[in-house]
Parts: sequence; structure tokens; C-alpha cells
Amino acid sequence: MAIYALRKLAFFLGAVFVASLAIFILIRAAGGNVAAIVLGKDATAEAINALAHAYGLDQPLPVQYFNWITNMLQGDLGQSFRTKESVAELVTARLSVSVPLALSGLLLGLIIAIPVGTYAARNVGKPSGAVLALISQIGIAVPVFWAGILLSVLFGVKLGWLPTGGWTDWRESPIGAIRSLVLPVLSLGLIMAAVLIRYVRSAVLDVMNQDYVRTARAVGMTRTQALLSVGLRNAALPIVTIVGLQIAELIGGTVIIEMVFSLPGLSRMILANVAAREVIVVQSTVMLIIIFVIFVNFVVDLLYGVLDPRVRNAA
Amino acid sequence: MQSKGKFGQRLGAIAAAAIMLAAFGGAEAMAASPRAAENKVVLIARQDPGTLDYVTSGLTALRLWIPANVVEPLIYFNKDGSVEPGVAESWTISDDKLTYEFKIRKTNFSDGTPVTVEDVIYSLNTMKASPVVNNSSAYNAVTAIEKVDDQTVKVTLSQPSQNFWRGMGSVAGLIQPEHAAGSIATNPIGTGPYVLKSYTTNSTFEFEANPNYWGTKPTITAATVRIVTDGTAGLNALEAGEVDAVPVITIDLWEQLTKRELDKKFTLVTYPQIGEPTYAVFNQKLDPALRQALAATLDRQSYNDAFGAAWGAENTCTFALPNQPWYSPESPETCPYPFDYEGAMAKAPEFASTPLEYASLSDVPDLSLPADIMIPAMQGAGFNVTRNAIDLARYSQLIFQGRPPQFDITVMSGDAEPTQWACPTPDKAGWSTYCSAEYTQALSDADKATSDEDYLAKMKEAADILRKDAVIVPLIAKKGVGLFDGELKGFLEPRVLVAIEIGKLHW
Amino acid sequence: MNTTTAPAVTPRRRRRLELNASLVVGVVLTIGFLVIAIVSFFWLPSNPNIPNIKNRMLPPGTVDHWLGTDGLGRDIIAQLMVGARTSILVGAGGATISLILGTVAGLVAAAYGKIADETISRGADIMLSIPGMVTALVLAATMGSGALTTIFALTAFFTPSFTRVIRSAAMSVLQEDFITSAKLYGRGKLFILARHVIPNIAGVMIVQFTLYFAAGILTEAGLSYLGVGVTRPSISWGMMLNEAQQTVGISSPLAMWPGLAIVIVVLGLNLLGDGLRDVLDPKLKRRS
Repeated sequence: MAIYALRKLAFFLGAVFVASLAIFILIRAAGGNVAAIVLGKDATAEAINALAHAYGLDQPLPVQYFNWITNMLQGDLGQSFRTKESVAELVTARLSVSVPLALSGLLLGLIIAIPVGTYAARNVGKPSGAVLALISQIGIAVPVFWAGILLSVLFGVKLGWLPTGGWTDWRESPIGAIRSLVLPVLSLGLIMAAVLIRYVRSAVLDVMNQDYVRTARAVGMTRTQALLSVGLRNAALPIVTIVGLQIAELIGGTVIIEMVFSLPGLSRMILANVAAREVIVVQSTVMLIIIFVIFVNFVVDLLYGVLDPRVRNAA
Repeated sequence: MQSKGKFGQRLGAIAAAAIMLAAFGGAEAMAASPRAAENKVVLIARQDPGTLDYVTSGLTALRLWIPANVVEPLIYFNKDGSVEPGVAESWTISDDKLTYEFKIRKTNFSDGTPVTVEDVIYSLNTMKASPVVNNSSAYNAVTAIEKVDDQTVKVTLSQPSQNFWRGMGSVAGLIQPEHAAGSIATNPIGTGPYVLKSYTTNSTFEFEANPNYWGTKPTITAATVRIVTDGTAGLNALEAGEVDAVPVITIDLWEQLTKRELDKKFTLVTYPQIGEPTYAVFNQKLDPALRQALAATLDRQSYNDAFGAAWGAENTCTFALPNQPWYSPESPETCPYPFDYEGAMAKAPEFASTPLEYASLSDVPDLSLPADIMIPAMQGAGFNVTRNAIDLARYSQLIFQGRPPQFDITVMSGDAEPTQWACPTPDKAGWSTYCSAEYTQALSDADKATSDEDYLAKMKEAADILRKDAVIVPLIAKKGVGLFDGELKGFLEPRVLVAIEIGKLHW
Repeated sequence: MNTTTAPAVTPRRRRRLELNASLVVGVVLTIGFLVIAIVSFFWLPSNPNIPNIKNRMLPPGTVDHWLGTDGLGRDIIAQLMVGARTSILVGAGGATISLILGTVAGLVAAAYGKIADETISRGADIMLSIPGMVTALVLAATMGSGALTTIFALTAFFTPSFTRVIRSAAMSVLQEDFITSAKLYGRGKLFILARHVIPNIAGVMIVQFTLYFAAGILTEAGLSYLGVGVTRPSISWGMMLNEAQQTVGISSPLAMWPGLAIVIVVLGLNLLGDGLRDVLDPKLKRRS
């Protein structure tokens, strides 16, 4: 087990390193210069060079990469060139929007997907199962932003129940904050649900085909009893894995949903900083997200190793 | 089939819960302007400046809020042309208009430190060295900035300069404490009626009344400026009563504004100061005959109509706004190359082999829309135009900073300051590529003018040269447009460039 | 070929019936989509890029503009038709390139030893853990927006998943008895891969291609909606939604048509992929 864990850890660190290099090269290759953006359209070349020098942007790229990584390793994520605000502060402020959005979206997706997916699996071949499969297919085909637009038109514009966009801060009014999140969470959750239903359905189908379920049924349990007593426990593992894999997907969904509803979340911050070529802010924030995703996968892998000895031994 | 029923019930329960939550929250939003009783306001800004350093950044997003509210200029120019004291309590101007003496007000900055002559000299010198041309150009004629006594500063000019005097009432004349210069990017300090309590990028400005303010205390004691980049979301917030005003509404939203009848539910103000001309730029390296032919493909009315906002914008061939005396709307006398599509088509074959690159700013809606009209029109006339869509950072790199700038055709919207195109020698040409000795001379003559009539005549002459050269080709002049809660009164047209003066508002 | 089948809980006849229904609907929707895109090369109601300000904002149902016009008077049907073209170019382009790269990488990983396998598999894992949307945003700034950038971004997202699928499919083929006999005959690796492995995984490849074609259309629409995807003179359904939202607001019918088009086409491709899976690859149970 220790060797398995060490191997996974080595992979985790390697992945983080490769990702850091990739994001650094990508954003630096974008061209443009934060100094030029700060100074506006009439600035002289000398003024821009002077400001770029003050920001340390005239140093050779390997030096800049090394400094950035060294600071990161010491826990310093850097700061915005323009305002001197630290990346840690910037990110923390945005998390109060993005985390509730992503988590509630995922939760809503699971709350819908687990019962519906199980139901669909138990009714494979029946009309009700087919109808659910079709609904899930349609759900997968709906772009998350269009779902957002439709909900926003219905509940925001036509009925006027909820804001069509924008954000009220938690400190200002918790109810206002929740109200601004209802439609985004609903859009994200429904689309997540459509994807997850299929996973849940096939996981449950797999479990139902396993010998122990058939044995349980052979000894006289009903299908429901068999599923509940042994099946669900075994289906949980693949579902946990899927949730791990869906994290990247989920972050992609929140990016678009934050744009649709103009929520001041992490992804809008990244977009604005890419546009302004705040390279340090972009690098560090994107790295945080990547580390988070890789870490979740790392933990899922470890859990898998703990839960299923076959995986551990195969590795 | 029993389980199906249960599932249905569960779904129903979820839906009912969602509807109840929504309905419950809905009631709360109906409360009308809860901030009026507390003398507070919440306003909306469309853009985040990223930095508040008005010395090194010329962004409108910052000039809207910091000057006049937090940091004051030496003097204020009123709309009627009269001059009011600012940081300078009084002033004397020599008869030859070469020496200006400013008597500095005995007051404190918002951080409690006294305003000293040294601070004023520091501020003026900083602006003189500002990388933003609009700031430093006010000081082109300045030869010395000196201390006379503990309350007086003397500025000496080499020749009379209209730009200097105007600049002292603009951003170029803002006065800051030397000791706080280090934190100017996030926390600018000044003598204005408000203190900036906090600034969160991409989120909010929080203003509070300045306890050390020298003038009459403003009625509004606290103001929040919320940064909402999505224009529609900003209008929604106003409609829902979450905010009290959207003082600056860009042209891409005007049609929505009238369609949703927001102009009836709220007070609509239009004012030229915050307006901007939208203009095409044809690279000066292109054959003048080609530039003139391209100019003839521009159907100004179609740009105006495309925004569905004829009430707020005017067709013009003159690089100016209606509040500037040298402005004139589109007319045969003031349009040397009027819309003439057949004429352009006739000339196009001659230039069909010249590839033309249209640099289009992809992330600014009010600039990508003109591209959608202009490019097909030019292609339809027979010109070989291709579109290069780039974001602002690339645009800055390739065009604003590119020497030579990498474009043949582009469209821009910006301030109407004619001096930005001044160019003494071709190697000093700016991003627009425009350089004309004749134009620069006319501006310089205007600057030296000692009477307003003389000044106006020279400015008109300059505007005429600019029109004829067909490099900077204006399309429309947009007004500044704002929406205010019906109860929120007192809006004053900007005096310090584009600054929205919160202190003049009241419930 | 392998004849062991997955144990079926439901009567096979009924399942087949359901699957064929999805294949038929999928084929019909997809062919309709392809036909519209092909027709757009020969005939359009009007040029979708040339403004006609006098006809701006016509409502649906207007003669000659049956779905109306946008803020610049451009016909919606013409834009939707050209948008179908872009969806195919970008979606199928991204899926094809990823399929080729993924097949090469997957086969190498499956057939060329442990080191190659580890390197490629771990590389794919890393790429999969980087959130694609975030990369695409940075990529659009780096390369400038446009159809090519979008195809490039899609390739970066899809290649690792393709690699995984092809690798595991190829590995299961490589364990078959006939491969062992081919090796005994002295056949080289390349020969075995080309002659035995690829034909046997062709079904998987076709199914995956269809599903990623659909995913590519969705992703492209998302990127164009964010304004970092396709730009005019190309037209994309996502871009049309973006323009509608920015100019006339989301409650306009202009924000409905492109969304509907996306849903129908993606649904068609997904149904087609699922249906094909059962016809071409009965070995695989219906997953995902």
C-alpha cells in the first residue's frame, strides 16, 4: 500500500510540475503586456518599458518562471501588478461565489441523478426506463449556457421571481446572495444530473449483473432488497470515481455559468486577468485550480486503493 | 409502478420548494430605494480600471470616479465657462499669460495631513512627467514650477497656453500628497468630498464622506459603485431596485433601454461630456485616393441605426463632440468624402490587389458591431478586406504600441481631445499613424491664442485639416447617457473631464 | 472474434428494439444536419454577413425571413445554415484530429512496452486533470480567437480521452489467441496493428468519433458564446447566442433558435453514437 501511495504521490507532483510549465508558457506566449494596458492607448514606449521593468516583466523568462515557482513553494502566490492585491486574497474573495455554486450544482445533480438513475436501471427495457433515458439524452444535448438563458428568461424576465444575473454579497444580504445563486445552481445542477444519470444507471446495471446480487435474489430477496443490501454499496465506488472525474467538467460548467449570470466568481476573475495580461494572477490562480483537480483525483485513487485490493496489487 | 409515483412526488416537492424559495425572495426585492432614508447610493460602473493611479493610467473607468470625488484639481471649470476655486483658493494670471500664481487653500488631505506648497509642486511635476500624453501635454509650454511662499506656487510658461489653463481644471491639475504617492494605485488620497474606503478589483468602489473636506459637506454620506461588466445585468439591477443609478450607459445597451421602457421608469439624462466619437482609422501609409474611396463606403446612418439609438448619437464627419464649439454634424460642407457607394465601387478595381487588414477588437461589443457593418460594405464595394479579430491586450501590443502599428483599417471610440493627434515629425506619429505638420501647427497656434475667438478659429481650422486627410474618419458622436432613480436628483454634468460628482447628488 | 457476451438482465429482443429506435432517430437527425450544411454551400436565403439595416429585428414569420432577422437585419435561417457548417468543421475537425492522434498514441501505449505505456497513460492523465474551459480561455488569448484555435483547443481536450479508450480496446484485442498465432508466424508489430488490431477496434473508433463530434459541437458553442471561439465572417450558433444576448437581450427569439439547433444536432449525434455502439460493438455493454 505504501508503494502504491508513493507512486501516486510521485505522479501527483509530476503532474503539477508539467501543468505549471504548460500554463506559464501558454500565458507568456499570448503576447501583450500589463504595463501597456495600465498606461492606455497614448502611452510612450519608454513609459511602458519603465513600468514593465518595475514589474519585473523584463527579466528573462526562465528567471521569471523560477521566481514564480520558488515563491509558490514558499506559499506566496504573488500579487496583482496593478493593485498590489495578493492572489491569495483575490482568490479567497471569489471562492465565496464559486464554491457554493459548484458544490450546490454537483449536489443537486447527485440528488436528482441517484434516484432517477437507479430507477432507470431497474426499468431497462420498459417504456418508463426508455423515457428517462431519452430525457437524460436531451439533457446532455442542452448547452449549459442555454439552460441558464432559458431559466433566466422564465424565472427572471417573464415571472420576475429571481434576478436574471448579478451578485449580492453574502455580507450585504445572505438571502440576496442565495437568490443570485438559485438560477445558476439550477442550470448547472440539471445539466450535471443529465450526465450523471447515465453513469449511475450503468453503475447500477453493472451491479445488478454481479453474481452476489443474483445470488441474493436466488436466496429469495426481492430485487429492491438485493440492490439495497449489497448492490448500492458496490455501486458507490464507481459513482465516487465519476464524481472525481467530473470535477474538471464541473469547473468548466461554472466558468460558463458565471458568465451567463455575471457572477463575480473565480473564472470571471481569470478571464478579466487574462484580458489584462496579469500573468502572475492568471498563472497562480489556474495552478491552484489544477492542483485542486489533480489532488481530488489523487485522493480518489488512494481511496480506490484502500477500498479495492485488486487495484493496489495490480499497480 | 408504485416507485414511479414516489419519484413524481419527490420531483414535485423539489419544484415546490424551489418556487417557494423564489417567491419568498421575490417579495424582498420590491422594497423601494431603501437607501434614500440613509442618504446612501449604489451606482453601477461597466468597467474595472484595474488600477487607480491616474498619473500613469488614462483609463476612463478610473477617471469617472476618482477625480473630483476623491482628488481635486487646482480649479474647476463650470459648464458656463466660469472658473471656480478647487485646491487653489485664488489665482492671478499675468497680462502676457506667461505667469500663473496659485494661492493654495489652507486645508487638509483626507488622511489628515495639511496640503502644502510642496505637495502641489510635487503633483504638478508628476503630471508633467506623466506617461499619459493627455496629462503631460498640458505642461508643454511650462518652463518652471516654483514655490513663492508657504501658500503660493508660481508656474512660468514659455508661451501662452490654453492647454495649460484647461489642464489645471482637468486630470492634469489633480493635487495629491507626496507622502501617499506609493499607494496611489489602490488608495488615492486627495482633498475631495469623499474618501475611497475600499476598492476591490472587478467588484466595488466604496466611498465615504471625507471628514476633512473644506467645502459644504455633501448630502450623500456613503456611495457604493458596483462594477458590473455585463451591461444587461446592470440594467436589470437598476430595474430590480438593487441600485440607484447607472450613470454611464454605452451605446450597445441603448436599444434595450428604450425597448424595456427604462427611460420612462427612470430619469434619463444625456450629456455630451462623457460621450465619445466612434471613428474609423485608415493607416496613413495607404494611398490617399484609397483612403478617400474607403471613406465613401461609410454609410453613417447605418451605424446609428444599427444601435437602434438615433436619439443619443449624431452622424458626423468632424472629430469632436457636440459640446465642443468646432463640432458640426454631417453635412455636405463638413464632409469632404460623403457616403457614395457607387463612387467607391467605381474606384475599387484600381485597389483590388491591395490586401487590407481590418483589426477588430473582439471583446468590446460597441466596436465589434461597427466591424460587422463596415467589413461587408467594403468587401461588397470590391475592396480586398480581411478581418483580424484580437483581444484588447493584443490590440495594445500590435496597434497602440506597435511601431509601425499593425493595421490598415480599424475602428475606435475614445475621448474627443483633438491634441491627441498632434505630431511634430513623422517619427513621432502615434498609434493612429496620423501625422500632419499642418494640423500640428494649427493646434499649436490655437494653444497660443490669447482670445477665445482666435482659439476657436484655429481649432476649426485644425478640424478641417483632420477631415480632409481621411486618416481619422469619424462616424458618429455618441452622447453620454445615464439612468437615475426618479428620486435621486442633482446630477451635474462632469466638470473634471468625465468625473461623475457624487457629492452633487441628493435624494 | 470473441464470442463471450455480457450477461443480460433484460430480454435481448426488447433491448435491441429500443436501441434501433435511437439509431434510426440519430441517423435521421444527423443526415438532416449534414444535408443542411451541404445545401448552405449552394444555396442560402441571403448572405448571412451582409447587414441590411432597414430590415433589422424582423419578427419570426416574416415573408422571406421566416425566422426573422437580427440586430443588423441579417437573416436568421441563413446564419443557422452557415452555423451548421462551422459546427461540422470545428466539431468534426477536432474529433478527427484527436481520433488520429489518440489512435496513434493509444496503439503505441498498448503495443510498445511498459515505458511507452506509462509515459503516454500518465501524460493523458495530466491533460485530463487540467480543466479544459480554463485552458481554452488562455489559449484563445494566446492564439487569437477563430475556428482554428477552437479546433486546436478541442484537440487538446479530446486526445487524452481518445488515447485511453483506444489503448484499452487495443490491449484487449492484443490478448486474443489469433494475435499470439500471428506473432508465432513471425508477423511484425506494425503488421499486426494494421492488419488485426485496427480493423477490430474500428467499431469503437467510429462510436467514439460520433460522441466526440457531438461534444465538440457543444464545446465550440460554449467557447463562441464566451466570445473566445469562432469570429465573423465565420458564424457559429454559440456566437449567435452571444450576439443576441449582448444586443437585444436574452428574452428575444434570437436567443432561442441557435440553442434549439444545438440541442437537436447534439441529440442526433449522441443517439447515433449509442445506436452504432450496439450494432458495431456488441461486446461493449451499454455504458456511460
